[in-house]
Amino acid sequence: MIAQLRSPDRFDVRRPSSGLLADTLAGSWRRDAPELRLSTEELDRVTPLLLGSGAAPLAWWRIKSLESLTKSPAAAQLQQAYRLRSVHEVTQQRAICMVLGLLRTAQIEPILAKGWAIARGYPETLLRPYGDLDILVRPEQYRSAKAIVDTPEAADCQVDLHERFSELEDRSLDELFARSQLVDLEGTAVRVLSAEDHLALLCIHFLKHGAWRPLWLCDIGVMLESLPANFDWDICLGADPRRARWIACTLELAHQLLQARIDRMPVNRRAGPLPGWLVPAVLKAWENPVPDWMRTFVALRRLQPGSLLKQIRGCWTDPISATYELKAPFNELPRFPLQLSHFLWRALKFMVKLIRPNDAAGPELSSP
Amino acid sequence: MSQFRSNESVQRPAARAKGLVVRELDGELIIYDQDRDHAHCLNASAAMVFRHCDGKTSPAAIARRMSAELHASVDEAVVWSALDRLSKKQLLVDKLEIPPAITGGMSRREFVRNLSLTALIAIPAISSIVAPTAQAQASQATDHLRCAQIQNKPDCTNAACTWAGPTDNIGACRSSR
Repeated sequence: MIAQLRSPDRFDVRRPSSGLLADTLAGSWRRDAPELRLSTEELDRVTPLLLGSGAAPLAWWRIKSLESLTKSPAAAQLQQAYRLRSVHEVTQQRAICMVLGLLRTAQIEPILAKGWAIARGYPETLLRPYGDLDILVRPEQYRSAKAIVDTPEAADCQVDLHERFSELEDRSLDELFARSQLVDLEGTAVRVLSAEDHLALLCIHFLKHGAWRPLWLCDIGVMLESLPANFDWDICLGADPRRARWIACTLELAHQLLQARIDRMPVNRRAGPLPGWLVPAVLKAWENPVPDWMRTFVALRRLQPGSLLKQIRGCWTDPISATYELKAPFNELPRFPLQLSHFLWRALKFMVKLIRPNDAAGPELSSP
Repeated sequence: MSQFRSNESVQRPAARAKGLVVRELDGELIIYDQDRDHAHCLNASAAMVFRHCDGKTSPAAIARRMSAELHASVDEAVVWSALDRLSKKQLLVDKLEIPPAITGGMSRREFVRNLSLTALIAIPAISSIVAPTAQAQASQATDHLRCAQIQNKPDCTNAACTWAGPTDNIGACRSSR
């Protein structure tokens, strides 16, 4: 509700920026991407969203053969982002090899998820920027692994170490490791999740964070269109019908918004018509390259006393995150009650933080 | 432009290797200087000169090699123009300056302008790559959070962070640069 009031396109009769964003990224990961009809003015409008969400290299790759667009200043910015990414990813790939080497020397076998693990599915890995290295290790090895990634040698590598993925709480660690596979990165064997588990992780992760980053939906499109021949939908969707519907809805979003090909998914496992509020909620999230929850998180850290009301108001959750956090189904029922419940929970936690700033629980905005 | 003889016994330009990440992309060479946190884009001509800077080849010899590879006459002055730019961007091991014998007494600006009129290949160009403004602005809300995460200092209150966005993944605290 509050996010809608802040919409920059409320009185704009042109195509909404979020719609332009979807059009620009639709099928962009394919070498034969669909025809794109975008004016230079529209590219100007959508470029800040592309830059802010990390989709600039992908967007440049999409438009670089369109002479009508490539001469514009906006296109030049996208190209700069593409160039910068080309050298930064070299550094990051070296970091991956180095960190994996350190962990394996200590007899710790890690799984790399998201980031490079999904970037390798794109036509060029540099099209998919990533920040952290999401690495999963067994709980009994977590402390040792943490000690290694905190050393000066590995500290610059931005490792986000996990002993579990909350998005995959319906499957055991043993299952994840058993189904994982080894792939090559510059001569280093990198263990990644199976396609089934990775696709489930990406879908749930997308919902967990309010669908704010369109690049994550591109990831899902990339995976959907490169499933192995023996892909097991039962494993991917899981046994819990609610989670299965979450995943199915996300796949349907990738299909509807980004033209991801979904023909490999059995018809009887597809989500069917999406709830009426879902697509608008995603497009609304895409209009802001920095999600509200992140701005709130930063504000909470800084605890600016003069803007208390603003920060409390900033606790208002988008409908997608609220649905995920409260483990609710994706159906046609209104999202407002869920958003209100989650807002009250987050506001309460914020107030607790104000009163007890040294509380170890911290301002983590986890579910109630 | 007439051919000038350079002092071949002195100038053997060598490209830096240490501290550089080099990537070929769409006919250009993208170079990231890790020591200075600067990124550069070399066009095809500048890239060719850079590749020939092996510490053993004189600028005149570089020009001859490029002429053979491109099947076009490459003036030594073109090579010196590239070397001058590479030197100023600190991409060479040693600093270089265009000898007066090459510029013929012209100012650097006049020299480059004359070159653009007479060279048979694209003038070597090196441009700096800066993280696009909108990207940096959109990321300002996460500057501090991201830097604090990287530094593992969740309680840091330093407001001078300048993290440039999703493609900026440098490890050191940005406010200290």
